[in-house]
Amino acid sequence: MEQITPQYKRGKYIRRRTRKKRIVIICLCAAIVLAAAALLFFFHDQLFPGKEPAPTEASDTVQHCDPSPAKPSGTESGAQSTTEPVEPISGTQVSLADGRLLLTYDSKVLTLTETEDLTTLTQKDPGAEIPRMDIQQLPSKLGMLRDSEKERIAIALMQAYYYHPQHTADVDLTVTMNEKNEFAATMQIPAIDDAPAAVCSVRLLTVGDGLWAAVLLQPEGMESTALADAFRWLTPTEENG
Amino acid sequence: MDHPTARRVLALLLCAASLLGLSFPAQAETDAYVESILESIALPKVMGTGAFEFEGVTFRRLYLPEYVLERYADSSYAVYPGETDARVGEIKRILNSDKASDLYFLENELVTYTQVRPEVVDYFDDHLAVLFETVYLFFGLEGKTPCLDELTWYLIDLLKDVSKSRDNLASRPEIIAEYRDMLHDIEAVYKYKLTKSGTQGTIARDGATDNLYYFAQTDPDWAATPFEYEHNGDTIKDRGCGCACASMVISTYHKVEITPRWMCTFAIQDNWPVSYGLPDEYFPGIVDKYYSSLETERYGTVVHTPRLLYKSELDMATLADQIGNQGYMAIIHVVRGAFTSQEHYMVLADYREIDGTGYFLVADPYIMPERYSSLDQLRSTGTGNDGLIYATADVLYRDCKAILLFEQDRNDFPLYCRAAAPLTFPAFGG
Repeated sequence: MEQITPQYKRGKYIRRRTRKKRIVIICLCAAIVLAAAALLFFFHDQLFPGKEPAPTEASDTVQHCDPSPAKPSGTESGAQSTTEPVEPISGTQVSLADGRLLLTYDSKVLTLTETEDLTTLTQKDPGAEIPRMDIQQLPSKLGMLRDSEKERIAIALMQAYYYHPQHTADVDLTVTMNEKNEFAATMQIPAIDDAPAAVCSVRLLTVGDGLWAAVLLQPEGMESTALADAFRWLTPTEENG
Repeated sequence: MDHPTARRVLALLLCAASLLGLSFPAQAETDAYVESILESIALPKVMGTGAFEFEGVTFRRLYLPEYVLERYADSSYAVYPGETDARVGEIKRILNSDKASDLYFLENELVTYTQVRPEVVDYFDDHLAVLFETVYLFFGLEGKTPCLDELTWYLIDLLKDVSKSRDNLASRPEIIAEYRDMLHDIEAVYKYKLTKSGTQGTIARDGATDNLYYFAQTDPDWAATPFEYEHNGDTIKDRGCGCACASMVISTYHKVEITPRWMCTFAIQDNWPVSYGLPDEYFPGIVDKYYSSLETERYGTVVHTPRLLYKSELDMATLADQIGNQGYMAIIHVVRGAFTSQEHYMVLADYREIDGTGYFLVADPYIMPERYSSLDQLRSTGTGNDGLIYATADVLYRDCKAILLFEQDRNDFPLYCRAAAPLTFPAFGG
């Protein structure tokens, strides 16, 4: 019978310790990898903005229309391809966002009003509150938002026009542009209670370091070409960082 | 594995777990971040009028942004009608204006005295369910099942704050008036719903809905309250049947709970008590002096002076039609017979045929059914309220000395809208 010496015992003990250390190191590595994967999962939109494949059903209908989203059908200018270069007509120009955002509109047809929160264009005739276009600043940056968050904000911008809006889950939203400095989407809104059916277009624009939103609300049968043009011509200036 | 190694592995696992744990709050933070952006969105509210129709009357909505309503779509709890929960008691106390402390809803009766008695305060009664339904209606949440959940709490909290608008919005008096009008509209629609559904009235101590305003002179809340005649030491229990009957009828017409204590106070103040209790003339007297227009400003309700009819002038068939079909109410003055050994007042609250026999629904303020005689002329209501009994016209006529007839429909409610425009809460740009 082999006699086990104390040295042998010590050697076996040392080997066992080494093996345990390796197991511990492997566990540690696995834990770190898991944690990193989890962090990456939650923050990859912020780390790699715009790289996320659109997760919503709207992804099937994404159209990259440069430089503006599609206009509501049925308008005079609806025949113009949205992929054609925009050729602004001569009109009144207003600088917003400390000169970083240029609003061009036909002042013969449209009226501009400004409040603390909103810059609004409505028709001079008949002077109703709709159709309309509104521009406002939002406290965020486009690059910090996931696609789903951009869509949620676009829907909330639309819902803000309604006393009794569609539920978020029921809104049919089509993303028409999703680039580094601009996100655009269109929503077809059915008639709700005493509000008529409407098309609502939203542009989220990077302006300087900030985020600006433009919303075009065109109720059915009340579409305004002048408003649609002003919405398309809204442009961040070259000063834009 | 020896202890040092086990400790190291454990420490490493804890580190990994904490790193993983960081990710979940991070998700909540991103949600909160988007919410903060949504909160900054301006609210043009140009689509729709913010109005809705209820029973042919156009009312204005209370506006909340959709993202706020959806924020509370998934509640961590929900208490439903018929259930008992401390949170129900908490919200009932906030909504009840009949209290010395707290200053919410002072101008509204949204939760009544009988709903907040200790036995039922935590019970989700039928009235609270109708109130929540009404609140949902004004917030555009028609179809939501009445329950106490996070959203309902939030809505009541908003209303609670504006009910104190005199304090909160002292610098904006025009808004104070708007909120007062809106709270009135909620209250009026709520009371209208209760009235038209036949569920108006008091809540019994077992939580059941009485379906009429019922006050007993034997109720321990006021039974021992002194109601003396020439210092004889009597109480409301001893001789307060007239006070309790006046409470029941006037509460019914004004749609608010007026307890016998008030009737007792005014009876003594104006020196009405007589040796047998109160005279018949007390009822027209107290209506004319104190209660005719008590809630006219609030609801538009009016109580007309009751007509005193002596037995010789009484036609029970006509009375049955008036009470059963025209919504009249009556206080009957009975003498010794089926209901009492002396003299007594009771309310005739309804009339209906049961198994081919016509019965008046009698609300007897003295709960002691074992004292009744002529039982072949009486019938249990099966409501669990021992103060209610069916009695035939014959037995009532036999025992009657006089009747105080209130010649107006107890189910009338002049519904109208006060708010001129939809309302937005200050937190959302209102």
